[in-house]
Amino acid sequence: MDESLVVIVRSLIAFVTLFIFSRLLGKQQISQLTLFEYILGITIGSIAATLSVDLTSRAWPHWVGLATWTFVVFALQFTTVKSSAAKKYLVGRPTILINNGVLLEDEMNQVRFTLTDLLEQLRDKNVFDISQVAYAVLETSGHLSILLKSEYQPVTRQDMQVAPQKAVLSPQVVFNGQVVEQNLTFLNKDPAWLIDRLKAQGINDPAQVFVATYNETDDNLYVDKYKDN
Amino acid sequence: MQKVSYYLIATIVLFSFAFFMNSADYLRKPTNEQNNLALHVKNLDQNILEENWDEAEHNYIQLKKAWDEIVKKIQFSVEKDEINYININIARLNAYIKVEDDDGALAELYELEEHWNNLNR
Repeated sequence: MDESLVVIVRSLIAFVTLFIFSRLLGKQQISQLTLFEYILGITIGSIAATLSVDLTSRAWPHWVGLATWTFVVFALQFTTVKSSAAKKYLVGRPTILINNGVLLEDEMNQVRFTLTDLLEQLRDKNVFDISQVAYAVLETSGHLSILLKSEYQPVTRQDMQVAPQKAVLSPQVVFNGQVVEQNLTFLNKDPAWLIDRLKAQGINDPAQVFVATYNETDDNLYVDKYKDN
Repeated sequence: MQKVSYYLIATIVLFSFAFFMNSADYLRKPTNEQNNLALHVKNLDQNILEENWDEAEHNYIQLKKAWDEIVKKIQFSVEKDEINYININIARLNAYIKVEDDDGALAELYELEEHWNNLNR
């Protein structure tokens, strides 16, 4: 028995299987997962690791375990999407910790959230004074969402009655020294226009550019060259 | 169309893996007389009972060759311990045949047969 060869083959099986299953489970980021999904993720990873290197047992039972856990997670996801009651039961509900500026100690005890935890999460959101907070909600993912009292909220264009500016993307027109023609077409521009604009900044060849982006709103071409000086 | 081909490829890959991981029963089936392990076990059983040690030595070599060939094919879908148990049986069988001990040789041969029958079960 060639152990290394067997481990390589089993690892490839585990890797590709995990890849397919994780694609099936969706695009949620780790930060968006509920605690339950996070734990399930760890379990699935652990089973895949055993499938890969534990040669004292056959690969097949581990693979079946992997498929079963994935199917269960998939079924749970499907159920929570289709039924709000099931979602409430399986995922839980967000908990209000600060209501209209008042700390709700009972709610905090219920979710075992200490004042230190609360202050830490507030600082993480650049709030260093708890009196500025109108509402704080502990989401099912464990993250804290906050709403500042109106006097502490940043001024917006609407508050100042300033005409809004169109929010636009700034597509890359040069990437790694290559002109991105697809984005130029999207901007209704052509390579000649780009060359002219680069020349205006003292650049003769797009190959000298690491990245260049164009903002239509203020007609600004941002350029970063390979040679910074 | 792209979505269909994605699901189709994923399904084919997963089913191929499932087949590959369960292929030991299929791959250990003899394709010729040389790699027919069950036949060599049967021949050895007869040789040992008749105390025909020269023939037993010859059949032992055939059995070892057959096993080495089979292991290469089934190593991905069976337990390492299952392979090791049969390796040990074969090594002991060799010693018993060399010293012409029919009791020990038969015991090892029957244990080997048991392990062989229970492989991948």
